[in-house]
Amino acid sequence: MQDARIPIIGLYDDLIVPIQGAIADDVMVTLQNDVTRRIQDGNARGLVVDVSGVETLDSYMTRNLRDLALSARLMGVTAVVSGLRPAVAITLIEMGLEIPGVHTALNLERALELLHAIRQEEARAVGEPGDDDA
Amino acid sequence: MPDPTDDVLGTLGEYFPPAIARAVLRSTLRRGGLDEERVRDSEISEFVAALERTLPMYIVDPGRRGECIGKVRRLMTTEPPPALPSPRPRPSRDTPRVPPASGGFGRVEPTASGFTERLVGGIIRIRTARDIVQACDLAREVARKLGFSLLDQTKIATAASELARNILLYVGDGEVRIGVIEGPKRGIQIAAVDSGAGIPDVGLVMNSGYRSRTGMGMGLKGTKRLMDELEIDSRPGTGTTVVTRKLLS
Repeated sequence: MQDARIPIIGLYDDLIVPIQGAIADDVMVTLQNDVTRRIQDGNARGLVVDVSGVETLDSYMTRNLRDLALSARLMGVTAVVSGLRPAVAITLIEMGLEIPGVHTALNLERALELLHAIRQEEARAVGEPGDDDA
Repeated sequence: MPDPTDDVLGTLGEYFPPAIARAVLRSTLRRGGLDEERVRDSEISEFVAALERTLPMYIVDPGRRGECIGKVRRLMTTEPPPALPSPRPRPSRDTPRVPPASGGFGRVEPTASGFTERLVGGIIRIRTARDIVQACDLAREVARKLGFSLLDQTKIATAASELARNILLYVGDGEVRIGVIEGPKRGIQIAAVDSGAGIPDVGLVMNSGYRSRTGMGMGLKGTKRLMDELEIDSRPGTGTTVVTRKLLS
C-alpha cells in the first residue's frame, strides 16, 4: 500500500482514472497533481473518474473527489464521475453530501458516451465539426 | 495478598459480557500506563483515575457509569493496604489473556460449551491517513460479521472513517474503538477518543446550520444520520469522546 499511485489511462482525447478500494489521503493528493499535470501536458478534453471499485466515501474523500473534478473543469476539461455504488450513493445522500458541479454517470461506458455527447453539443454551439466527423 | 484484579473484573462483569469486561480492564490499564495484566494494590488510585477516563467509551449513561466507578472505588478501599511491597503478580495460567487490542476478531475463547468464535472489535490508533482506512475496514468487517446489510455496512464504515478523520484532522492522535453490543438487540458501537483541546461548543457543531472551515460539523452531523445514536462528551482541555451505535433491526 506504500507508494500506491492511481494510474491515469489515456484513451483518445480522454483521461480515465480508475479508483479501487480505499484511497489514503496522500494518494488522492498525488492523483490530483498527476491528473492536472497530464491535462496541462497533453490534449485531454475529458476526464472520467471511475469509482466503481470504491466501497466507502467519507465527506473528506468526497470533497477530494469533487476538487479533482472541479480542478479539471477549471482547466477546460469536462469531468465525469462514474460508477458510484448504490450503497455509497445512498450513504452520501443520507449524510447530506453531494458532488455539485460535476457530471455523474452510471458506469464508465455511459461516462464516455456522456463526454462524447457534451463534445458534440459544444462543437455545434461553436460551429465546429464534432467527434462524429473524426 | 489478595489480588484485586478478579474483583474488578467481577464488578465490570455486572455491566459487560466477560470478554468486554476484560477488554475494558486491559484498555484502562494501558491508558493509565499501568501493568497491562493485573490491577496492582499499589496502583489502585491510578487505576480508578484511569477508569474514569476510559469508562465513558463503554458506558454512556452518566448515572450507570458513576455507579460502576463507585463500585470499583469501594472495592478498592476495602482492600487492606499492602504491608510490604508485594512481588509483581504473574498472570496465572487460568487467567484468560486478552489479545493485543489492535488485533482483529475471530478470537477463539473457551466456553462451557466448548470453543466458540466470538466477535470482537478492536482498537485502532489513529495517527496517519492509513489508520483511517484501517478503522474503516475493521468497522465494515465487524458490521458484516454481525449481519448488517451491505448498505448498513457502508454507512457504518463511512461513520468510522468520519470519526477517525476528525481525530487526525483536529488532534492528530487518538483511538477508534470498535465493539459489539450484546443484548436482545445486537449492534455495533464505534467510539472515537482523543485527548485534544476538546470541542468548546458541541451544540454549535451539531447545529444544522454550522459548517466549519474544514467541514467537521458536516462530518459529525453526517455521522449521526448514518448511525442510530451519537453522543459527544467533550470538555475543553480534556479531550473528546464520540460514541456512536447502530443496532441490527
